[in-house]
Amino acid sequence: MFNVPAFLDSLQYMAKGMTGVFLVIAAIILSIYLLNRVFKAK
Amino acid sequence: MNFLSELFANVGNVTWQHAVMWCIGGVLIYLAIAKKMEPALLLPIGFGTILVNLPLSGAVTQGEEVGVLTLLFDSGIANELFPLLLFIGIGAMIDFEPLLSNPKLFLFGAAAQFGIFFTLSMARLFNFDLHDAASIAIIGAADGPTSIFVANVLNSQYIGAITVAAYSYMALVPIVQPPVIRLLTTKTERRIRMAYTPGSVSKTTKILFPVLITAVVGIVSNRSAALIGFLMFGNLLRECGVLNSLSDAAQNVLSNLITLILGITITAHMTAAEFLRVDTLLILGLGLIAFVFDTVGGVLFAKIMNLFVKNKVNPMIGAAGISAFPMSARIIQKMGQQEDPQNFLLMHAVGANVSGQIASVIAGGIILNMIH
Repeated sequence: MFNVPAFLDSLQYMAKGMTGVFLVIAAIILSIYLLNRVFKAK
Repeated sequence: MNFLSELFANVGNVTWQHAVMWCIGGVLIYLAIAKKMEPALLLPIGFGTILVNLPLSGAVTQGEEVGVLTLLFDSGIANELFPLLLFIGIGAMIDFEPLLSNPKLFLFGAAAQFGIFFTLSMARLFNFDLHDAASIAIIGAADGPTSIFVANVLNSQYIGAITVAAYSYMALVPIVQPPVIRLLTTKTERRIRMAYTPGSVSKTTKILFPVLITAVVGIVSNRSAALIGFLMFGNLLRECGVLNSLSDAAQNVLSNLITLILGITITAHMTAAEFLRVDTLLILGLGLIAFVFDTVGGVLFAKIMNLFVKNKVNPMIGAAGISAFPMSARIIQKMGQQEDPQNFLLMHAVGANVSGQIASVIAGGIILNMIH
């Protein structure tokens, strides 16, 4: 019923996936800080 | 007599599986009308479920005879057209200002995608193959079009069940999230107040934001370029200030029309033969796990963040990092006010909530890049 080897093997996707999401989000956050700095609200 | 037996010949083709599917359709219609749960989707899905489960229903392909719902599915969902068009409307509806004025909120959108990857592993534990496991996991994106898009690209056989689970749990966010949030936070944490500074974002930033996001996400996660591009195109229509009528059309006419067709078209794959399987129940269970662990990921991330920052974040904001917009943000505001009537968390929660919309598309793209 339970496929433990497949579960353990899939943990790499969790690690890679979450790291990937955070890295892209970090790039976006930096870009927004840059935009807010360059184009300040009047 | 012959005439009568010919007229009612199809009655003999009714099976108990058809009857069960009619009940499921009826429940979905009831939830849509009586409980007002995502009625724009659950009602067409409910009605379509009854329609396609009439014996030898002409609405779906039977042998050589092409059914209209199968035709719509092949020409609108199998090629990802409808989810993408719907994203233009969703993009036009979203105001990203709360997020742009406090970009840190983006982190909660990222953290609340944890449920997707956790569910992928759980689905593998239950022996789903990798493509189906990833398609089931994307229910945790809490975002219908992304779920349909990813499940379709990965050619999942469970697209009907995945879509129903995604939209049902989005509607059930007010029931699913509060107990998980209460379990993970103390009363004192739920009472944390957060300052909000409106009007600090320039018009230029708002216009450049959708272009920038499209470029960054499209380059890094090329498989989600279409999803993020259509979402951000809709937002650019809204923010540019010179295409108000198009923005209105995207927000209302386009999204209503696509939602209407999308809901009933999905049911082409909700026939008893495809839906009434133990796997389907398992998928519904895994969908719940995805939503619960999205919430867990967001709340715990906020609590960890509070260990390092001076201005504390209300950890409930982390739970709003899921893409179910705007239900999740409303829940956080309501829960905050239950603890402290003077606590206004709505704008922060909206910021985290719209960041979840973008983060879920990124997560979907990353899943496709890793697995497809």
